[in-house]
Amino acid sequence: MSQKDSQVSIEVSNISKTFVVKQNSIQSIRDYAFNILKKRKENQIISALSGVNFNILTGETVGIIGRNGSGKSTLLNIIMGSIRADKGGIIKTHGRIIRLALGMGIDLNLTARDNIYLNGSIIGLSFKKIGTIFSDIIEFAGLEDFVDTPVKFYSKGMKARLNFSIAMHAEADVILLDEFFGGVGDQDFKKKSDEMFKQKILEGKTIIIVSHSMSIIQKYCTRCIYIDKGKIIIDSHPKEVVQLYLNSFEN
Amino acid sequence: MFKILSKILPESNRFERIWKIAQVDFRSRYYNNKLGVLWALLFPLFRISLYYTVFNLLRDSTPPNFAIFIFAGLLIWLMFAESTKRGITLINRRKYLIQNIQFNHFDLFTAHILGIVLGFNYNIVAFFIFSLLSGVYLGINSLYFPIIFVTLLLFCYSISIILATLNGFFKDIKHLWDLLILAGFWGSAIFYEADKILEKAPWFAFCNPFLGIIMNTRRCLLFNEKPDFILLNFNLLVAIILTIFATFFFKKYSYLILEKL
Repeated sequence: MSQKDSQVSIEVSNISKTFVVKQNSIQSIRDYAFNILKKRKENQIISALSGVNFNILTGETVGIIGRNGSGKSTLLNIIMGSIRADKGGIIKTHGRIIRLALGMGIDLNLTARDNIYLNGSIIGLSFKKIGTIFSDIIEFAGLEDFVDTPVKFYSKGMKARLNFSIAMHAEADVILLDEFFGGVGDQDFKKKSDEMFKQKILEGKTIIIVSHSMSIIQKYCTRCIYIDKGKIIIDSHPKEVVQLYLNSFEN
Repeated sequence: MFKILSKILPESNRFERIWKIAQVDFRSRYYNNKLGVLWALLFPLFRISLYYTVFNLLRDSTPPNFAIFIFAGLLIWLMFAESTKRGITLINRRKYLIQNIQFNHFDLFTAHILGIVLGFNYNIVAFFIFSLLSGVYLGINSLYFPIIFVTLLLFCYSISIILATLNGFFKDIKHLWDLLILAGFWGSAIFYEADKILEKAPWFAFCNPFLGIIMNTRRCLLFNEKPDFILLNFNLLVAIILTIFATFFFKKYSYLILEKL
C-alpha cells in the first residue's frame, strides 16, 4: 500500500531546529543591567535537527532511535507543538496527540483517586468516562486497598503500576511513547501489562516509540528511524535499522 | 460566537481538565498543612485580627466597622498578591502538561485563576458572615461588585501571564515583584481610607488601580454607596487592555521559554 493510499497522521517536511546559546547569558534583570554596556560575545549556534523529512501513516508503529543528544527529544517536542521548528519546515499532524512518559503528571501529594481524575483528564478522558473505568484502573494496578492513600506513601512499583494503568486508557489518535517502558512491577505485572499495551495502545492507533531499548523497538515497531546529530541516517525495517545503530557503537 | 464555540466544543474534556487542574492547584497550597483547606479560611481571619488589633491601638480614630473595613481591603489584595506570586512559576510547575499534551497554553492561566477563586470563595463567605455579625448588610449597590470582581480577575490573569513570561528570561523577577507587592500593600488603602490619598494626590488612583478597586469594593459592600464610576470604568478599561497586551506578549515570547523547559 503506497503512502498516497493511506491516511497520513504526521507529515514532517524539511524540519530543522537551531538553538542559540548566548555567551553573555542573561538570566536576571541584574545581569541585564550589568551587561548592557558590555561588548556582546558571539552567540553559539547549535543545530539540533537538520532537514528532517518523513511521514507516518495512520496505524503505523514507528520507533525512533539515536544516541543521547541526537535530536530525538527535540523532534518529539516539535511534533507536540511545545517548541517551534525553524522557519521553512512544515509539520502537519492529524488528530489528537499525547506523549506518554513514565512518571508524567503523577502528583505525589494526591491520592490515587485524584491522580486518576487529574491524569485521566490530561490524557483526554471526560470525568464520566473516568468514572466508568475507575475500578478497572485500580484493579489492574492492584491498588484496591490504597485508593485514598496519598501516592507519596506508595512504593516505586506501585507508583509505576498506577501510572501505567492510567496511561493505557489514553484517548488519542497519535501516541508518542517517550522512554515509557521499564520498571513496571514484577514479572506477573510485566506479562499483564504487555497484553494490555497490545490491546489498548497498539490497536488502531498511530504510535511513535522513542527508546534506548532495542528489544522494545524490535518487538513493537513496524518501522524505525535512526537519528544522529540531527539528521536521519536511515528509515527502514527495525531489524536493519537497529543493526546499523548497534554497529555505530563498534565503529 | 459560533466560531468560538466550535473551537471549544470538539475537545470535550477541556473544561473538565481546567477544573481539575484548578482543584489540584487549590489543594496543593494546603498539602503540608494539618488543618488542610480550613487554613484557607483561618489564615486571612488570623491576619485580619492581627492588623485590627495593631491599627486599633496605633490610630486615634478608625473608620466605622474597622475590622470589616480591613477585611474588604485584604480580601482584594491577598487574592491579587497570591495569584500573581504563584503565577510567576506557573509554567515551570505545569511543564509536564506543556510537554506531554497538545492544548491551549492559556488554559493553564485560566485554571490558575480558577484555583485562586476557589480560595477566594472561602474568604468572601467569611466576609459576609463577619459583616452580618457586625450589623453590616448588603444593599442594592452591592450589585456593582461583580464588575469590580471581573476587573480584579482580569488584573490577576493578565499580570500572571506577563510575570510567568518574564520569569522565563529573568530569574530574579520574583524578588522584584515581592518588592512591588509590598509597596502596593501599603499604597492601596487597605488600612486607611482611600480619600486620604486622593485628597492629596488624586492622580495616584490612576497609577495604582487597586486604590480604586478597594475603595469601590468598600463603597458597594460596606457603605451601600455607588462606586466611583470614573475609577470603575478606568480600571476595567486598563484591565482589558492589559489582558490583550498579555495575550500578545505570551504568544510572541512563550515559545522561547518553552525551549528552555
